[in-house]
Amino acid sequence: MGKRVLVTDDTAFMRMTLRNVLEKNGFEVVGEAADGEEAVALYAELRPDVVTMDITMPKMDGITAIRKILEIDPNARVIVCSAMGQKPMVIEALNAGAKDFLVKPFQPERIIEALRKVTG
Amino acid sequence: MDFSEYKDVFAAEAREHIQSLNENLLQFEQTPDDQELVAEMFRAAHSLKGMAGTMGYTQLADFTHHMENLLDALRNDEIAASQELINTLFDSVDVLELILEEVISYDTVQTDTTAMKERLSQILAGGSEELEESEAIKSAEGEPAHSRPAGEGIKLSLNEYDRELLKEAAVQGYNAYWITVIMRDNVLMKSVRAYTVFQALEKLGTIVKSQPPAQDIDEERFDDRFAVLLFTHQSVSEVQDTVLNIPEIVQVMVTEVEAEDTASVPEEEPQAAVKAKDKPDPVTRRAGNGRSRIVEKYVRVETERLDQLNNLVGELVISRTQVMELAKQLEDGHSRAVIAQMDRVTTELQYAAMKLRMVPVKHVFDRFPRMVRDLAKQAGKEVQLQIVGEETELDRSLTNQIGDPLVHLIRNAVDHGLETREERILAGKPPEGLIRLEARHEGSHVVIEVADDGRGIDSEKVKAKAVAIGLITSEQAAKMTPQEAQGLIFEPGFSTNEEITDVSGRGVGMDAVKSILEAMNGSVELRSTLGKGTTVSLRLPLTLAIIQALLVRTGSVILAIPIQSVRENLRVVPEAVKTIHGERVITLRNEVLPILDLTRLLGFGAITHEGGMPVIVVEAGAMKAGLMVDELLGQQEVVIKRLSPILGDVKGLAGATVLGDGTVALILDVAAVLNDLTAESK
Repeated sequence: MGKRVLVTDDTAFMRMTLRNVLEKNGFEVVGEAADGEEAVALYAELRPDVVTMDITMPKMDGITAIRKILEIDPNARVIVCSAMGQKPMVIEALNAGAKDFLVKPFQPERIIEALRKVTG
Repeated sequence: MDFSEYKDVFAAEAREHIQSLNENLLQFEQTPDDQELVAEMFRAAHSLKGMAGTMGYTQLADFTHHMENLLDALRNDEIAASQELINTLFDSVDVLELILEEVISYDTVQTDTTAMKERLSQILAGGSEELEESEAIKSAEGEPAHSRPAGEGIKLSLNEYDRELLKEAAVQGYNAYWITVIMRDNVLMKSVRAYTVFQALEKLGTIVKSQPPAQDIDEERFDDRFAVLLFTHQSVSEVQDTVLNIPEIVQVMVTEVEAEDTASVPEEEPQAAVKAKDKPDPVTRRAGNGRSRIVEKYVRVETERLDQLNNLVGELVISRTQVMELAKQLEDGHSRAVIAQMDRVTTELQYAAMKLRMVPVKHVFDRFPRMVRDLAKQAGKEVQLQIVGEETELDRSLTNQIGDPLVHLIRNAVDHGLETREERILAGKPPEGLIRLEARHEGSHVVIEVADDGRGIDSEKVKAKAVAIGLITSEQAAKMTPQEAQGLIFEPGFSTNEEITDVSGRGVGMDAVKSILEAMNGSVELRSTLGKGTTVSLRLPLTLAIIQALLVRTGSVILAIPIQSVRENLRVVPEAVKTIHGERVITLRNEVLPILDLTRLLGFGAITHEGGMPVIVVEAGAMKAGLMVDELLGQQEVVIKRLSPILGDVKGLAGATVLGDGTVALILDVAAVLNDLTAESK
């Protein structure tokens, strides 16, 4: 049984990409969230093993969402996803409790490595 | 992030690195023992790799990485230089150049570089065998060879403070580990990756120091590895596991540091083996031509931006003057103090902005030694050029304009000023002629002098010639002082005559020199003693943008007269004005001075005077005159604004400025006005 993943990104393209990569590598994508609010709600509902979290999103940004999710579950494992040049926000996310980070454009092997190590 | 805006800079710098690689490689072929060259080449390849990576040109980065590996091995004596190696490097630089141009043009690499990379790797691998030989030799010499496996740790160097900490940690039962962490290649945001390592290790204990220092790591000034000194209660394997569980970390090396050991840790900097430290010092990062160039001390800025800054500061200076005007009406002491402070800061800002435009005259002077040498050879004379004060700074735009006049003056000095060797010996002078080029500050001016110890100017001959060509009458000539006579050579029509210049010892283009200087708000002065030599002084304002001016009112117009042209202010009663040859003059200390009615001259309407009228004595070059005005308003700093080209070339005006109260004042072009006067009187 593969690890259960909640994918959060405001673009359908990125969610699709992540889903493809993850499913090919034995992960199970249990949900997709398009913003921070949805991610928090879906986390409470689905209790996935790991969450990928985009930073810049409408309604609620990724960093706030990470904090909310950790309030729900202090052991939650969240991997923050960022674009190049968002270094300060990545640091902030890590300080907020994200377990690791991924930088876009994504390389499949890095995604898998990060998820395996974080869930391992 | 979008790096496309940096592409030009990247391209220029990358080409420089390739150029430097080529040059150093050529040298290296001649002197394969020169480790400095190898270090230079390594740095060039390394910088290229970093640059390419940042730009996202991964193939280019990968290729330079292969070159860097080989150069690194060469640098550490792991492989020996051979013709094959040098050829391979030459070929690889060619390939590098090719793919660089590809990425510059198309953003991708089209050439297949696999074969070249193979060759580089083979040479590198071949080197390992040689290494064993050289190792044997070195061992025989009793010195262990230093090889660098891929997973080499960073060396630890400790200072006194670290040692104290280590002792303390040992007392408290901590383990001290020196942990080298190696990341995989091309990690994105490697500083953040390093941060996650720090975060993970901080959970296990305390990080005491890192190599490179945290600041460098944060700014990504490290290769693929860094090291930290950690005090912890955990075991080596626990530490190792923790770090290895972080993504993108490929290797961790943990060595225990014993407090007792520390005494034996060598004091000296670990030899170049510390890979992360190999990143050259940022200050001398760009290497070329065997010399390290300072980059971070200077910032290249488009001159346009400097001009813009100066313009804005100029505007600010005007606003400042306006605020100062308002402040005069203020009762409130505090506000006045604040405004006074703003006034001081603005003055400093103005000065700082002006300094930005300043460059040493060395830039101009540098070409003269060679020029004097060539001129002297042509003229068959022996000439020594003495340069003084080349560090004197001058407004950049002025240095651009001052070159041509100086060329004229130096050429004249060599051709006409200095005598031949024989003449000099006969005159009892040293056979070698001396030309002295000197720059210095004089108040708010820069004076550049070209002096020779040649034959000097014969004012009688100058006068005779001036009469002969109809420049002056013989009566005028008779009244002229030697100084005035020498001034004649600045007259248009005089100095272009070759014959004259040969007898007078001065000549070509002196009128051109004068008009260039006057256009720069400067002046020319000539002093010459027959038989002793000639000195021409060019007086320039420090900057073109801001001048001190005397403000006067004439009719309804306010005029600003550049202060360097003003000699004195007089009050003249109408009875003192006499008319000689239809010209209005006054006698000032036995000197007859023409009086100009500015309003009439510039066409502003008539002046009405009751009692004494203010007269401003102005001077430009050798000419002097009194300007009749209605009222003196005071002295002020004004920012010169060019008159709109729509107005065409307005005679007698150098520009305009806006005064404190918003009034526009016209800036008088004294030289032009006086020239007009001379023209009129003829």
